[in-house]
Amino acid sequence: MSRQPNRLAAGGHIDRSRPLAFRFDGRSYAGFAGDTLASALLANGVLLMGRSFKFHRPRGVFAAGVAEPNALVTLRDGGRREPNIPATMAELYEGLSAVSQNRFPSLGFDLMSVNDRFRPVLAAGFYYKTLMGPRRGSWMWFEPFVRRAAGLGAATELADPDAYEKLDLFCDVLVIGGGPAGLAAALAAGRMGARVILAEQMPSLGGSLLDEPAGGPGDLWLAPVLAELGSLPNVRLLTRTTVFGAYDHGTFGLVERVADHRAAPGPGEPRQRYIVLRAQRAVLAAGALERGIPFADNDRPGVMLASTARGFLNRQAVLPGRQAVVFTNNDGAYPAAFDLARAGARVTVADARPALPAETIRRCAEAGMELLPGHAVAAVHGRSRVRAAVLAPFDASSAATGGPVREIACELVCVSGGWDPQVHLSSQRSVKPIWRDDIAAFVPGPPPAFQIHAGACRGSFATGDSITDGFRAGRDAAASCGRTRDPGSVGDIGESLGDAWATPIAPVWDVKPLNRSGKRFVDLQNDVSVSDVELAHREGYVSVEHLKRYTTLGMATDQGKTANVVALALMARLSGRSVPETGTTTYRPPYTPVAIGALAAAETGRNFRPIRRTPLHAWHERNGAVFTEAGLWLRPWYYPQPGEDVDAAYRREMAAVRRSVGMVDISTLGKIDVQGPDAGAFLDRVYVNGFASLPVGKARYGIMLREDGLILDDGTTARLSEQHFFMTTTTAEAAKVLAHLEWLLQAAWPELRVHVASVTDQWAAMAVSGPNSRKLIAAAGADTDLSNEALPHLGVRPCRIGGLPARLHRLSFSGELAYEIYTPAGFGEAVWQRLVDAGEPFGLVPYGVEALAALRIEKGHVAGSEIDGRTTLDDLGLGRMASRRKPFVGGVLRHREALLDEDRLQLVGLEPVDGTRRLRGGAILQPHGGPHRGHGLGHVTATTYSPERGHYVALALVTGGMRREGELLDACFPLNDEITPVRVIAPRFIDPEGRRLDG
Amino acid sequence: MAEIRSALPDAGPLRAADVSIAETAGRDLVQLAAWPESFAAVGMRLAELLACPMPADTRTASARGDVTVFQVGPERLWIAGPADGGLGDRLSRAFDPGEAAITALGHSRTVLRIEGAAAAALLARGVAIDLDPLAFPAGSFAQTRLHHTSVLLHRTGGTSFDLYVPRSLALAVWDWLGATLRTFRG
Repeated sequence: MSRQPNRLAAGGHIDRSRPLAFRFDGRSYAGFAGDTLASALLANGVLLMGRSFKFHRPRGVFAAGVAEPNALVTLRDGGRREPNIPATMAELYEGLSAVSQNRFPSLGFDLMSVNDRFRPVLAAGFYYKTLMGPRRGSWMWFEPFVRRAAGLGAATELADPDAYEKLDLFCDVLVIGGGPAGLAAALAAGRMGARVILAEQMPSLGGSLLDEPAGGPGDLWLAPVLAELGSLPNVRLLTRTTVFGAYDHGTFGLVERVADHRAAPGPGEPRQRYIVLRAQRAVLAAGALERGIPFADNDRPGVMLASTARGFLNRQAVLPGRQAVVFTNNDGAYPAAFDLARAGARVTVADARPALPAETIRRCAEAGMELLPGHAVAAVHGRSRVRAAVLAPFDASSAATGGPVREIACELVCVSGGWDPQVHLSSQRSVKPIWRDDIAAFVPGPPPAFQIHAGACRGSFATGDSITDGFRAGRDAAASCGRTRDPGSVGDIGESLGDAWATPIAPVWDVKPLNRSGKRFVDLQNDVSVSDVELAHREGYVSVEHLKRYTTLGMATDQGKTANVVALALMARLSGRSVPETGTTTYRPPYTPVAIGALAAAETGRNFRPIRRTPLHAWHERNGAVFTEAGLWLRPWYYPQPGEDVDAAYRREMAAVRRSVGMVDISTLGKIDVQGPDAGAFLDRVYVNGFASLPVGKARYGIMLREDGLILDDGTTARLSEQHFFMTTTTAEAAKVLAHLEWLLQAAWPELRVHVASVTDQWAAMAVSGPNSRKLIAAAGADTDLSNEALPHLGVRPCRIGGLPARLHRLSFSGELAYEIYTPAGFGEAVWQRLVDAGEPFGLVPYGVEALAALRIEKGHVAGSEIDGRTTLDDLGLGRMASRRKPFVGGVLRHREALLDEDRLQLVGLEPVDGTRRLRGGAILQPHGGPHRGHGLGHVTATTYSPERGHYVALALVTGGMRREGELLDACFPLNDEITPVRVIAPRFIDPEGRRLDG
Repeated sequence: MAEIRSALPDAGPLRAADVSIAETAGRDLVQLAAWPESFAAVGMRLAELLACPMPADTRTASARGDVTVFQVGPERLWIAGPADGGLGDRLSRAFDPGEAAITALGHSRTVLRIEGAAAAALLARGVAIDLDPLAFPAGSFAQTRLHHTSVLLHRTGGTSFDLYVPRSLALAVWDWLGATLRTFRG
């Protein structure tokens, strides 16, 4: 433990009764509750907190909160290790452990700081110029070195042990920002009865008021306001919550850091919460951030923004330096200068403006400060910490320095180049920011109806004005939500907060160097300097968007919050244009980095996406099924017996079906109830073949086309009564077919009286296949006549099985005598079990989708791998199904010239010339013996081992189709380096006459 | 009537502070879909048959006793009632197929009852609907999404909701609710 040399004996908003121990780069330190890692390190006299991205220059804290570009650290260990956290955002907790980044071997002694010696080589565009040559592949050679030499922290590769949560919230008025304007807005809207949510990214409410001395007017205003807001049940205050994105129609993305201020989340606590918030109105009171001024070596530890130094002083009672130079071009830095002097620092103020009011001069003198109007800090001395500042007479209009130079020994240089309203969330909604010369800054443009801007974020920098402005915004927002109650007025603000600017800002974008040494940094995080902007200009980059990409300015974790406007103004000056003529980049979400874990929320692991289970799923699990995914469904793939792999299992299962009887769960088929007086006519238009003439109690195989004439889906549809049909679709296309039918009924033929409804989940479905299937169903107790006469092929009959309602559809996908049994889902397992029990004498086997597919391939039935969205009826040899007597969807466009081309890919069967060779799905078909070129003649769509034939068989799509019957082709499978000669044969490998269908 | 097997494991309700989730077994669900010209007359006869008024709009269910009626689309109603009430048969007998199409859906949905002071706060973890009592008062229903699943959410009382989940996804939604409860503090 160390003492805290820079901690003042009194003051600040820290809790001195709660000391906290923490570690940085392995060393132990002490701080207090209310510290950030940055303030605690400063209190301990640690200024060096990181190394810069490219040049590995020593860096300390420069800005406050989310704007910090330099002091990025890696927090925690193991699966919780998280890189690139600004030390200014890391709240101190007992045992906090942080390490610095981008250095080797240590922060104090970094070998990679040799890069700083090669600054002229490592200028903007270094990648593009150097690594694109001398020949292709150069980048691949350079990349590992560059990645190691430049960069940020490294993420963990371990699984994240924490939980995250997503929440949908709604409100009338969202207030973005918990500073004086935001609090006043929430107060007005809350008093009027609006449902208000206020989001503040920092742990405490108050914003810039917290930079005021503790116990002063800021606190006096804050206390009653917070008490009243807390008492309003319609106001919800979210701290540690960042509004990172503004989206259409009043939708916002927020992230709440629920437990990041502790070592680990508590039991049952999410680490972060991702909130999607929909608001009728939003008050944007995001405040303004101070920006710097580039001068020579303005990145040395000890150089920081004036408001940042003031924040450390008044929030955490940390005096970052006892000898301070304040360099400013505006009145906003003076409160920092006065507070530093009051805390005992010797303060010199260099103000770029040549003429200052007598009042300012008098107050500086009273405070014991030296004031140098018309001066600038031209450079600082010191490497790992500031030792002196070089002050020179300065002409703000030309940025030129000249005249007698003074060197002042100091530890702290406070800079203020002006204030940038946080226009991000307005810009994200495509509102162009507007330049204001009087504050030398962009403010949000005219807001869309649902957004109201207030306070410093629209350029109202005086605290009193911000409060009034915020109150007005909150009142207007609530009123536009229909709230009419009088909000009264906002409390008195107090004299000393009247920090309005008495003297206009003098825009200063850089300080010309006194000599050639010393880099002047614009973007500290990306090591982009004034000379890089000048280089980009010389090389012809005129667009600010190109400047950004060429120099990397404004990228990475801070997104250039302290740099963007300075760079833009420099570019404007170089090109002889005004700042608004030069433009600004468009801000996109997120405002600050958002953890992917928060966006994923609870949807990880088995909740990554929902799993669909059939009504028979539990039985499959109990009986050892291996499952496979089909869309969201889990389907039994095969049921292995001891020692069996998938190949052995499916061959056994399909052999049992061919020999005796097997049973497969087909509940995943899409099922659609089609009802109404015009149902038959509707199906006639939907399917290529006729259905209006289908008798009640019969089913028919049908194919439907898309409007463009290609096949959409196939399946069977049964007529249950004159006006009631039961359609099945493939598992994969169920939702698409239902949407297609609904669209046709609503948009194309609203005059048809037909209703369609998905009944996929209503019915369990199982297919019983094999020569003994009829006997099995009878043995299971089906109370109906199963003879060929009573229930012929394609017949449909209701029945009861074991007293449970069911319906038999005599249909066959396998080519064997087969039945599909439909029963209400909640009875599915009971019916299945009854069949299993009755099946023992027949050697019944349950079979999975591997055997299901193998059986259909052997029979030559097409499925999803042939109906692939590119094939026509004729391609699959099904052209004769199309009715000539009626129109149907796709009936016209199927005759397009390209779809009639005889050389289209068409369905064939394949067998290997050498019967011992395996055929592979997806193999490319090439001319036998070569040449093997490109996509060849077609591809294999499906393969299986055929127990009947004793070798593999395959279905394939080949140009010219069955015109190639008997021809030899090479099936090429480059993944295994296989070339298998195959012969083209008819795509029916068993029972081409269909004799087995009757058992 | 044979027992309808639940899609959920027999593990009892899920509980956390101020909220519990349990399956409501024994509910039937029937869809009645009529035509533009027959819907009004069908509605009047249906109200008589069920002794339950028709819903006034597509956002509010009407309920009487153990019967609830939702209008889920143009000329399309869902009628929920007790499973042993022969609801589907009664409706099929009462309406000619030319007047209305009756579709049994009782086995297609698992009904979850979510109740307790924190029920709305829990649902806000997955449902993108404003569940404030002013925006979604008792009696309101919505066809919405929870965990990528199309569900019907019905507020049966101030702190009580029924969730109609497709049976095939019921266990996935149940698991998701269980996982969500693990980090739920109300």
